[in-house]
Amino acid sequence: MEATLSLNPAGAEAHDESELIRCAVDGDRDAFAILYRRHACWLLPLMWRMTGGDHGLAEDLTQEAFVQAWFKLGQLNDRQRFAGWLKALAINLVLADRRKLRPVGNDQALAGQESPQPPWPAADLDLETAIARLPGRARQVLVLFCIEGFSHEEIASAMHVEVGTSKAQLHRARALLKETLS
Amino acid sequence: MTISDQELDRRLAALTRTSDAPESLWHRIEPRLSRRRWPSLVAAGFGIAAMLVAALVVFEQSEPDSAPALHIMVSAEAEAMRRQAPTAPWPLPTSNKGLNAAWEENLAAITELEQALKRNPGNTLLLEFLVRARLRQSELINLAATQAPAGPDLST
Repeated sequence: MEATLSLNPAGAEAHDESELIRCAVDGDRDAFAILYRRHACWLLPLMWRMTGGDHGLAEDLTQEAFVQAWFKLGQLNDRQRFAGWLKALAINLVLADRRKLRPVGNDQALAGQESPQPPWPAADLDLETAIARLPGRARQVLVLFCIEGFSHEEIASAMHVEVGTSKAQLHRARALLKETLS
Repeated sequence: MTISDQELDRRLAALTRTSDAPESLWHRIEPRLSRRRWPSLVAAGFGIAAMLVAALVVFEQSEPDSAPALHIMVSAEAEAMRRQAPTAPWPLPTSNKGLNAAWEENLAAITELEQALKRNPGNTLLLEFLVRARLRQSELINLAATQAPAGPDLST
């Protein structure tokens, strides 16, 4: 018999993550709903920044990440590392998605483009917009390095590039940001 | 004036990291989760089928043990057929023409029974019928030898 968990938000906080994952592995969608509410709150902003402020694409990728997580949950050995596992899964998805590689950051292209606005109360709207308008690879390296705390080695491995390329993209992104924000 | 690296790092560190998880997105995710149950159902179906096949194999392998019961059943059926037959089981023909026709008919029956036994070697009912057909064949030979000098053409 499957274990079920209450969707009561107060109760959701109390549920142990490993227990939630165990229930979700057994097919308990209510348990997975609690996991969604805990983790979509940080995954969606990450996807929004990685996609250059494309809210629809960010939602699509977040959705896909959770669906894949549901199907692969049984492969997660250390259930305490769910957040890191989900993040890696989502980043691989966004890096593999060719739609994000549309031209961004080109001055001519940007001239006729509306500034992407984050769908949450932004602490620094100018910076969010400037990041969203960076060229694709530079933006992704900057988000992963400066906001998500990945190392250049990890970024290079995920993006299938050299470590030097990752460093160069970060340097380019920071230079463009400083220029834009000045 | 260009902002400093420190100022950029400070502003990057202060960016909002979380937002509300939209319920609308969960409503798009949830319908896609049910499909994981399908592999389980398919696996269960295959499991049941495998169990049935295994049971069949075990039954087939245990056939020697159940042979006496099968033999009794087959014998009872053969006995019932025998009871339904006329009292004189083999009405022997008296003319050469009738003898030849009976010989051909019996020979055709033997051929059919032998072919059937090749397809189903363990069928004791077929075996019994074949034995009876061979017996009739020998009776026909005896009859031909005693009745007519020419006798039936037994070359086949």
